[in-house]
Amino acid sequence: MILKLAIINLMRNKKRSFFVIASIIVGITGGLFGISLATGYVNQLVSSVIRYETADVLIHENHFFDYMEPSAYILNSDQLIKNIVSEKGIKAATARIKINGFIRSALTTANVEIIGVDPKKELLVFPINEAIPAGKGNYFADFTRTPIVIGSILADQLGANINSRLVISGQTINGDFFSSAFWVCGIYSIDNKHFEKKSVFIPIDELAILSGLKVDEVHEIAISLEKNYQSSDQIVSELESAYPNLKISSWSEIRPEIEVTKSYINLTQNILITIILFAISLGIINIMLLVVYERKKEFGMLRALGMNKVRIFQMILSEIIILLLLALFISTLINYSVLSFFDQHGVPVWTVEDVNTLGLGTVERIYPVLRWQQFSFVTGLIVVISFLSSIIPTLRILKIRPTEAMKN
Amino acid sequence: MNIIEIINLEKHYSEAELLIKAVNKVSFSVKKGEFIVIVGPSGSGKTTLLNLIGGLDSPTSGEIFVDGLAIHKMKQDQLTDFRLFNIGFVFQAYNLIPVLTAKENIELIMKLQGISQKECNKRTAALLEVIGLSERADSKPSKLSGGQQQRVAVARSIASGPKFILADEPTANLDSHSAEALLDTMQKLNQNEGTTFIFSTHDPRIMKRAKRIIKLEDGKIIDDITYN
Ligand SMILES: Nc1ncnc2c1ncn2[C@@H]1O[C@H](COP(=O)(O)OP(=O)(O)OP(=O)(O)O)[C@@H](O)[C@H]1O
Ligand SMILES: [Mg+2]
Repeated sequence: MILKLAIINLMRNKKRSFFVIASIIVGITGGLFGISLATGYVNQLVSSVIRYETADVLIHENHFFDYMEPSAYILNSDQLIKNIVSEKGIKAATARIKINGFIRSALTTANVEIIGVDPKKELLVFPINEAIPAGKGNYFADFTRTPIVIGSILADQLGANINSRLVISGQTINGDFFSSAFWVCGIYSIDNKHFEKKSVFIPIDELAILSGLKVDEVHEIAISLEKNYQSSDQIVSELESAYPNLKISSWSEIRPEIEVTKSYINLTQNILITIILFAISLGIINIMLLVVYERKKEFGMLRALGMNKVRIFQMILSEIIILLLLALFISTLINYSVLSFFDQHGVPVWTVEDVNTLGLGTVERIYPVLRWQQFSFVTGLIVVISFLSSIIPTLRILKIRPTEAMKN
Repeated sequence: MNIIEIINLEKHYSEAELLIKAVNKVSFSVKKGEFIVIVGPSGSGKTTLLNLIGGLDSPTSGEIFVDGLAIHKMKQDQLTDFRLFNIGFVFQAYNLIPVLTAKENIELIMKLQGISQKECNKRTAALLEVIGLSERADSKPSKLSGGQQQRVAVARSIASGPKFILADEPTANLDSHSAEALLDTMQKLNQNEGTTFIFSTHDPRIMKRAKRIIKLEDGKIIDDITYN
C-alpha cells in the first residue's frame, strides 16, 4: 500500500522525478567510476610490480639490505633453487646478480641497477620478453655481441636504440671497479616506469665475471607462486623456517608503500563517495521538503485520519529509496558498459610523469575495476542515506496541524 | 449507552490580546445510533467543537470521554492511533488522495488498520453499492463530481468501522441534488447499520433530517432538541 502510494506519488511529477534521478545517476556513476579507476590503478601497479620487479617472493643473503653491497651474496644457488622449486605451491625460481652501477652512452650517463639473469629461468618468473614491443629487439634470444636489455625510458635518455653500444660500470665484490661494453639487444616497456627507468639486464655469467662472483654465487632468488600473490605471506613463513640463514621477503615487504597506497586510495575513494552521497542527500531532502509543502493538505488529511509517524516515515522513505535504488540500478548499468569498454581500451593517463609523485611507478593506461565489496559499500551507504534523508521531511510532516492544513 | 460524554468543555484562543472562547463550557452526551446536527452562526464554534471531539485538537479545559476513554488526556501519538481505529471523518473538502482511485481511497484506512485485502475488497464493494458508485470504483477523484467525492469520503469513513462519524459541513460545496444524495446515503447507513453521525452545518436540508439538533452561539449550547 505504502510502496504503491510512493510509486504513484513519484509519477505525479514525472519531470521532477526524472531530473532528480538523472542527477543522482550522474553523482553515483561518477563516484563509482572514480572508485573503479583507483582500484584499477592499484591493481595494475601491484601486478606490474609483481610481474616485472619483485615476483611473489624474494630471497637474499641476510645482510643484503643492510649494506646493499655486492659482497652480500647467496652460496650454492643452483642447489637452493632445486630445493625451492620442489616445494609445494612454488611455480618457478630464478637466480640473479644485482649490482648498482652506471650506464654510459655517447650522450650521457645514468644510474642503474645491473641485473644479471639466466634468460631461460628468468622468463619462467618474469615474462619480460612480453614487454618488448615489435621492432624493439628481443630478450637475449638473438644477438651478435654481448647483449644488454634496457627500458625504453632509459633508452630515450641515453639516446640508445637496438645495437647501440653502451658501457656499464660498477663495483666488484673486492671493492674494485669494472667497466665493460654491451650492445642493446632489446628495449622493454612496462607500466612500472620507476623500475623501467633504472633496471638493465645482462647475462648472469657476464656479470659474474665482471663482479668477481663464482658460478652459483648470486644476490637474489626470485620466486613465482602457483596461486595468486595473496598466499605469498604463507610461503614466506614456510621458507623462513626452512632457511633461517636467508632473508625471505614477500613482494609487499619489498614495496611496502604499495599496501599503504592501496589502503590510502581506498579510504580516499570511500570518503569521496560518501561526500557525493551526502550532497545527493541534501538535494533529496530539499526536494522532499518541497513535496511536503505542495501536499500539505493531503498530509494534514492523512494525519487527521490517523496515519502515525512510523507510517509517514515509511511513506517518505519509500519515495526516497525508490529514487535512489532506481538511480543506482541505472548507474550500475552505465558503469558496467563503461567498464567493459575501458576494459579493452583502458583510460589513457596523460600525465605519465606527474602522477609519479609517490614514487610508486606509473601506468600509461588505467583499466578500471569495480570490486564487489566497493559496490556493496556504495549500496549500503545509499540505504543509510535514504533513511537519513527521510528524517527531516518526516519531522516536517509531523509538524503539520491537520486542523490548520485543511482549513479553506 | 453513551458513546460520547462531554463535560464542561472549553477551547480558548487568544488573538491579538483578545481572548476568544470558541467553545465555552459545553456539556452533552451522545448515544449510539444518533444522527446529531450541530448548528449555529458562523464563528459559533461548530468546527472547533467537532475537532475537539475528533481528537484533532486538545481542549483548554474540560473532559471528553469516548467509550469511557479520556481522550483529553491523550498524547499526540495516542490520539493519532485513536483516530485511526475509532473515528470516521468527512471533511468539507480535501477528503481524498487525488492519485488513488475511489476504491483505493475507501480502502486506505482499512489498509492502515491492517485489514486483509480480501476483507477490504468485500467491504469496499458493498459500500460502493450503498453509495451508488460501483461503476466508478476505478475513477480518480478528479473525474468524480463534488457530491460523488463526498460520498466516497463517507464510504471511507465508515469502511473502517468507527464508533462514530464526524462530518463538518459535508454539503457546503454541493448543489442541492448532490447534497440530498449524500444525505440519503448517510441516513441509510444510520438507519440500517446504526452508525452514529455528528454533523455541523448551516444547511437546512440536513437539519430537516436530524434526529437531534444542538444549537451553538458564541461557543455555548443555547438549545438541544431531540425529535422523534
Ligand atoms: N486557530 C484559531 N486561532 C484563533 N481563533 C480561532 C482559531 N480557530 C477558530 N478560531 C475562532 O474560534 C471561533 C469559532 O470558530 P469555528 O471555526 O469553530 O466556527 P464555526 O462555527 O465552525 O464557523 P463556520 O460556520 O464559519 O465554519 C471563531 O471566533 C474563530 O475566529
Ligand atoms: Mg466551521
